[in-house]
Amino acid sequence: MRRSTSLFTLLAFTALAGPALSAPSSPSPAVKPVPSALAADAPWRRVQWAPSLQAAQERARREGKPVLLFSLFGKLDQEFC
Amino acid sequence: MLSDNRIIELLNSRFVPVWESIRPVPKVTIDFGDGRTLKRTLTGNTLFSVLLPDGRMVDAFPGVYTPSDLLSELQVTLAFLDKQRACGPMAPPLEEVAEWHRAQADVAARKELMQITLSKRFVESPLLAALGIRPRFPKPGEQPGKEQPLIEDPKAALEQVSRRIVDVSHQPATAERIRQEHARLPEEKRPSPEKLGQMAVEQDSRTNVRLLRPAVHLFFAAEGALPMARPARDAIFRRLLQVPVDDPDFGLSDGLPPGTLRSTGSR
Repeated sequence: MRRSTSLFTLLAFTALAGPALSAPSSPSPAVKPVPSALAADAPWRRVQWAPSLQAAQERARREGKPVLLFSLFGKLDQEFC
Repeated sequence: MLSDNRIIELLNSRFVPVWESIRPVPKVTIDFGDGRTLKRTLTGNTLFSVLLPDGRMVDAFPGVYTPSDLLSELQVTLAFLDKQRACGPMAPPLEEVAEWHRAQADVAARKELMQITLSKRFVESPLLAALGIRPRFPKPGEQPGKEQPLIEDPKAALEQVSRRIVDVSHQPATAERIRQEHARLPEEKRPSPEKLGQMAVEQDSRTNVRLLRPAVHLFFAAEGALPMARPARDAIFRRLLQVPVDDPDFGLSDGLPPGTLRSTGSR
């Protein structure tokens, strides 16, 4: 499928549209805006992520639940697409 | 998707969620030559997959979805797994999984047919076009007979749908198409970057539900065994998302136009 709107691209649209285009000659803002998806209180941080796939499988076995694996390019807590 | 409370609640209550990085995010920097630079992530995509505790994959959700679309797709899969669990151990037999996926692809095709039949305007269905299925309107007085499956050979159907996905993947990015569609409007009526992003997600989600998810169902229906997570993930990225995950250059250096600077990075 087309690699159009990845989550981070959407983030870029909403949060970085202006600041991503940098003009070194103009005074840069003192504080860089934090994209909301990467903020300390970002909603995805409330997901109870297992620390590894192996740990997830062990917990799934104990709790009788399936594993939901989210695969991405980059890192969820940094920058991804 | 992951900022929606309903998704977070579902992930925490019904699954054991975990994320993995396939590789670092590829970035591109455009140097305008006048001191300005533009940085963007270049390519990629995401995949949610449902695994059994032993690591075998039973379903997958490639690409981006609106929270509502992802929620309803996940709930269908959970209902299947719940039904299987009620009958015995958590791991359903392969034949049951394969048959469920074939039936789901069939349901998707029927939904498309229904939409075309009921709609008063022309509705394009990439799925039906790929499968070569045309709507058939019943003759007056005709009694509905026993429904025959629309998809009998998942392997052949997957080939047909995959070819269609390749065609779709060559179209310009959704956000760019929406921007072009609105380019003739006066500036104040054009969508803001935020609105454009939202519209693109909604449109991609619709395409993914209508074309990519049926392709996923065909992928599993055509498999001879329940695949392990890693090979299934890579196959879905390559075949359905058109992302060459195992190529360090993402296929970008396959053809270099004259004058292109060659990569200086180490291979």
